[in-house]
Amino acid sequence: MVRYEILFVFFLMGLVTYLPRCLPLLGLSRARLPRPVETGLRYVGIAVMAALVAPDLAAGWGQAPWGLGPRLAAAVPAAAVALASRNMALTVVVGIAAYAFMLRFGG
Amino acid sequence: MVNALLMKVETGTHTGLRPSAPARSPSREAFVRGLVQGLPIVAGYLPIGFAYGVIAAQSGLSPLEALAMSLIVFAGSAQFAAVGLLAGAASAGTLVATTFLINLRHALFGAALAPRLGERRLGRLALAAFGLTDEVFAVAQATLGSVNAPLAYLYGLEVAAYTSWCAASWLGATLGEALRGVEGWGLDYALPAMFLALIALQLGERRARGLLVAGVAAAVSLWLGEAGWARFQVLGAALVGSAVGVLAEWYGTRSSSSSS
Repeated sequence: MVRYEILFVFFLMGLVTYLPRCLPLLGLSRARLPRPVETGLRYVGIAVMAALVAPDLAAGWGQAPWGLGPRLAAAVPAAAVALASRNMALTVVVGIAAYAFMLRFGG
Repeated sequence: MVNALLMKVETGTHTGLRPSAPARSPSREAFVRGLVQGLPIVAGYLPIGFAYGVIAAQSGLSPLEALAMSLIVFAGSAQFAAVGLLAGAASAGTLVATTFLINLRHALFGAALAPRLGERRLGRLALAAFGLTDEVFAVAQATLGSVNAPLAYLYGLEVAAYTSWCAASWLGATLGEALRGVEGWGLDYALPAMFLALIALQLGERRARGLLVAGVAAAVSLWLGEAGWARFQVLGAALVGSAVGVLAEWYGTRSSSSSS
């Protein structure tokens, strides 16, 4: 099953991904990015991921356990494992286990 | 992850292919060498592409749609962000604008590689540009110096990366679709947990600044959501967050240079 309107959005996403990869390689764009923009681009990924995850985690604010809600409470061990191990699979397993635990015993 | 790849590649060059007899076509030989040197990228892409596929299916994409995004866009972190946005029912404009913002850094890759490829035919360069992901660029930058036919070698790296990314995406999405009905096991927590891991992976050596940027972006995102501007949550947080990153680096270099 493929929805064509989603496919169209993918093509636009592909286009805005391809152009920055292509134009400087062809030498069509000699314009150098200003230094602060170059620095800022290195932080875009982190900022986007944090902006996406924050509303999800905060959704249960004020609920048990501890007024954090189960999703934010489970993020505490998940974030600790993520920072310590930098291992995606381990983080996901710990996060899911902690969340399932909070759902069952946290409230 | 890029640093780990580089280390693998540097050690790999010593044990890599050493053609003893001159082969018929130097560019074919370079292509094969690219495929082999691309194996560290494959080892990195298989689990992450698989994870992307699982998450994509969990947020409502069919396996074919998840594969289509990998085939068309071919950009790891932007695809994860897109899946997160799709799960939150974001608009097409937000999806495209966020993708552009995340992938704009690739413009730096082309400018760095162009003089080293020794290729003037625009069509061939345009083809190579499609596969210039972070990992392909990192490996190419580290190994291109020892290659006779750089463009063919780059094609080899890209084919290895692209096929493994797309195959893993499709496999992951097939499994993710099978798991979709399972509830009560906390599986819908895979996406936020993965974003936490992706943030940690991107921190690199700028740990404190990266965490500062993440905190500011999270706060801006929550505030925009509360204020009723959920449409601009991600873009607004990305702009403010990266501006804070720039300011923090500027402040860091200024204070370290004035103290010395």
